[in-house]
Amino acid sequence: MNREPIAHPAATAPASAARSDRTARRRFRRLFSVTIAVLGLLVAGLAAANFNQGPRLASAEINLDASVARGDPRLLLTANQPLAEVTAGQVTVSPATEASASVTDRVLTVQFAGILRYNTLYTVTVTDVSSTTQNATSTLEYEFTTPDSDIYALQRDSRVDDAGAKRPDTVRRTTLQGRGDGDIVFSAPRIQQYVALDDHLAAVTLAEDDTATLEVVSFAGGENVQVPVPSAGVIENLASSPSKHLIAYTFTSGSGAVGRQYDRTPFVYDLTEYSGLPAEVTGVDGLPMTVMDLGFVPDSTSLVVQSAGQTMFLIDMLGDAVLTPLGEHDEMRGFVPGTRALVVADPDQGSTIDLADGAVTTLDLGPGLLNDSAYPGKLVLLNEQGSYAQLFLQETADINQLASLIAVTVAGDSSVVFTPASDSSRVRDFCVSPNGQYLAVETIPAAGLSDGYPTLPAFSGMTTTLVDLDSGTSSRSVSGFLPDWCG
Amino acid sequence: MPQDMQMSQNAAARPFTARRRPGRGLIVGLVIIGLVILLRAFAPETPAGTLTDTARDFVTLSISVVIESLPFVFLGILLSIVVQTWLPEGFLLRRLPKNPAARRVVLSLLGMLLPVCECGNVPLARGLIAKGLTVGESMTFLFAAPILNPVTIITTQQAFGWDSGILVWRIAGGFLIANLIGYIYSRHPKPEALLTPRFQDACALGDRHDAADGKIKRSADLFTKETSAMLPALFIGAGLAGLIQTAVSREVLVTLGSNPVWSVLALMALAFVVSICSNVDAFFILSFGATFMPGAIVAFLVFGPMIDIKMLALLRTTFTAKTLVQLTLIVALCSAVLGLAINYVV
Amino acid sequence: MSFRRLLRRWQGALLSIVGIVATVWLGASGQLGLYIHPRYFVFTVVMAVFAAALVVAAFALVPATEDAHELLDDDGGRWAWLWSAGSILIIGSAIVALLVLPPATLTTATVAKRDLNGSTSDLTQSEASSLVGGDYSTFTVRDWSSLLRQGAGEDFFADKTATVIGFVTPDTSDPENVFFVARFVVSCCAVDAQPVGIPVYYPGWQDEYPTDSWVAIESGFDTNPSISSEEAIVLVPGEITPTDQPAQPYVY
Repeated sequence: MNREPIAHPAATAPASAARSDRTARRRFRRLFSVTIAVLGLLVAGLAAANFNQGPRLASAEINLDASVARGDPRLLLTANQPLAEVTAGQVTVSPATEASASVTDRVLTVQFAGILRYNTLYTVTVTDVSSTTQNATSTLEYEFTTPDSDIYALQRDSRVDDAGAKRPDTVRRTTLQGRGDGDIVFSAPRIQQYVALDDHLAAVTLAEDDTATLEVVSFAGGENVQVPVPSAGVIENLASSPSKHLIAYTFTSGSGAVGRQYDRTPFVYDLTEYSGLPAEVTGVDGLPMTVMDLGFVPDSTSLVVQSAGQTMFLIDMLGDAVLTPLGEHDEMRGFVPGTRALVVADPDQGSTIDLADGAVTTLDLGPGLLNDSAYPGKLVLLNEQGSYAQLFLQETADINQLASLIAVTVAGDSSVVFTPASDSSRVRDFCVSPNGQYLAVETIPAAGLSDGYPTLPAFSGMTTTLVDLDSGTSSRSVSGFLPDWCG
Repeated sequence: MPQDMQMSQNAAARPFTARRRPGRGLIVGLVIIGLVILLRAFAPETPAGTLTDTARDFVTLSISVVIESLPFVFLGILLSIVVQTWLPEGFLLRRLPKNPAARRVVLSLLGMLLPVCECGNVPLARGLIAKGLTVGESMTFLFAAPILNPVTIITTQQAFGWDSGILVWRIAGGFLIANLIGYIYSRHPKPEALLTPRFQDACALGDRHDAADGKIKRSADLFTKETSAMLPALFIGAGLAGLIQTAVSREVLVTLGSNPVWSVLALMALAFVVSICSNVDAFFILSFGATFMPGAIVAFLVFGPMIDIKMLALLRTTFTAKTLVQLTLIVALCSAVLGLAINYVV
Repeated sequence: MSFRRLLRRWQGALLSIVGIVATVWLGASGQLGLYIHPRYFVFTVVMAVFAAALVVAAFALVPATEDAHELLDDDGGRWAWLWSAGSILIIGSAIVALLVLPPATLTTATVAKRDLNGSTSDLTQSEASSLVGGDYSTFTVRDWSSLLRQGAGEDFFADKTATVIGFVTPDTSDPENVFFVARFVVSCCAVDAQPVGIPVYYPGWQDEYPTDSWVAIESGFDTNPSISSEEAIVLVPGEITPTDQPAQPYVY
């Protein structure tokens, strides 16, 4: 301590020194007391504040990629204290999504019903959450943005370049948020069809003589791989299980082929086994099969095939490829988005087969808006509650022309969600996105010219429009057709 | 104590040392080490069936704390030996800034260069007072050094990582509290009154007398002293950590640990009792990390190194009882404020 | 040179010896992994060797008792014997725990104390995504339990085969039919071990596989047939192979 001795007349020095000493002591005591008082008040205040504060969010977990790909995703909200029970009424999700909640210790699990939308900011709010030990309640809020989705489309180009050769067909990839038609991921002189997988693209290309070749491109780069086929012939019904790296297709031998003649014989090929050979899918007793249609169960290694006799089978390609018969039905209509419910159609009625437990539910679809005034076309089921989208062809003033439109029927309520920009345009096909959020509609312009491909012929100038089913708006379209959602 | 008396005492001690036959201690030590190795080698190999699962886990958890902490204790002691024996005297003190506040800030960071554990720095702080630092300044060093210390920072980081924020809060808390105390006691009119009457003796003796004994001997000497001060507390602390984890029911721990207020007070009380060395207390409290709120962990990690039973016993050699009560009060309140604030905000 | 003073002076060195010998022996016999994370193995052994050198130097150079004037005032008090008794107790306990008892892993007793599959999943979203495309054969109990916890659905697990090793610990909600094949996740040392496990449906498992015994399971996942169990998806193995405790019983 470097306190200067204070100069004072000799007589008063002891007294004033004592006084200044007392003042200093008092000052120190005051400083100390004030410090303690301030700290004590802070402790008391903070303790009270803590007692009156409800639980807070410590961390949150959600598998975002799965949330737009698979049904019933879960969000785990971990609080800083063990939580009391939470009822479904306390949970609100924006945009409105059905959700239930359960609590184990500090973890609150929010289970969404169905699949979440792409590119959407979700806000989950849980009100009146209290801990098991205190009465104070609080609101837990968590926001997350679901990922974007890739969109692929096939552009056929019939035009001829300066050298007189046909311009190549291309498969382009973009995203919902992206602009334009995106980048070329595959091109070949003639592309019949393709399927996009997580890491690969498989495409059927046609030679000058219409002989089909099946090529696999890896998005990671590297050489294209040609899947061996028995002989020259036709490849159809290309299907894929994107997350399992499997493709399936049927092969029919060309007329000039020698040896065994294949007739729409199903094959499955594992893209992760580059040197592997495609495996023929055989029917009961290992006999060759001829199939009318085939498709993978979403996110699985199981294949559904419809034999020439209209009998459907479920075959798990991973195990012993045992056939599970699913009955005889007229038509396979894909799966209800986000579920494993296969939609089948018969002349008198439609039904869904839940492949998880084999339960068959007859569809009792309410009549749509236009059933009386228009010719009904393709029907796509949107959810297990029986909402559906259907294509209609309506007569117009011009006797040679039918107008296309697509209507969605929800609980007996129908509304038109899509009509082509001009009456003369036609809808070729449409399908629903895997999460049930969008319809992808392929339209053919009036001036479209057929390209004359032997399988899946198309027209020039086709576009694919994405219709948001919730808002009914079609804000995005890409050139080309056969979006991967329809694969 | 007069200078000549000290001399005579040293003179009295030295003949005793000299009388020891050289190598006798070495033989005794090697024999003990050999016995311990033999014991380990011939201990039963099969799992002791007599122990219940809970007892086995108690032992496993306690051993885990010891095995994890020992190398860091040794590292701390090695660094402390290097600093105390091999660095020139007054090497750092001469370069302190003149401004009192800046001096205290630098002194509170001195622990980074003088990485002695809390038990080791009491003698060091006494030495600092003897070399002319004010009492307030030496308190700043005394309370900051155990936390602002490379080994403590490394072990806290290893135990809790960067992301949890616990390390940052611990460093900030230690720094602020030490400087606050330094400031308050720099205002004390009679700093000498804070010190025990006997301090003059302890201070005057210092560690200087055996400088001539050779640095190796002094290092070995410091090693025995520091291990004797730190290891018993470490072993008790490890046993206590294992005991609490196995004997106290999960419900009690969860209920206590998830309450923002009681968790802070409980872990501060625990810190006061266990007296585990700041170098490795992060490993001790790690077992509570999953059940106790972060504010409580920080309060433990800030309060423990500054005030606990062992520190009070050591500090009692230097400071009066009244001063220690004041210090305990300030540190405890500051730690509680920090812990409660963290629990409220984070 | 009283015994009390001797003890006071040398208790640190004695405890150091106990700790050093235990550490080095664990290191030499490959059992350090029972207590600490592998990243500390080298550091721990190196510091033990340094400390051993200092202990030997201390015995060789340091006088047997303290110089009289260094004694603190609490020596010689009426309760001083308590300190000595305490020291002896500590040294004795350390010898028994570190040198006599065989090294052991944590058991089901600790699983019960800590929340099985609690909130310690260190997997972040990005890691989990890459996991989902990953090589499932290398998945540990920890990876699978994390995926189960995140709510990857039944369809995700339908075609997956888990090949895991872990110890047996009962499911609290249905201890008759369901057990967990569990491991402890250690991020620093055994003190912070958090149990993780995959539920296994195997009625009557108690008769064949005692709790805490180690088993290897290769099996697919399925919906939990148990009615009372809280687990939705379980392993339904045809065969469970008893196995030895792995060299590194914890996962990191």
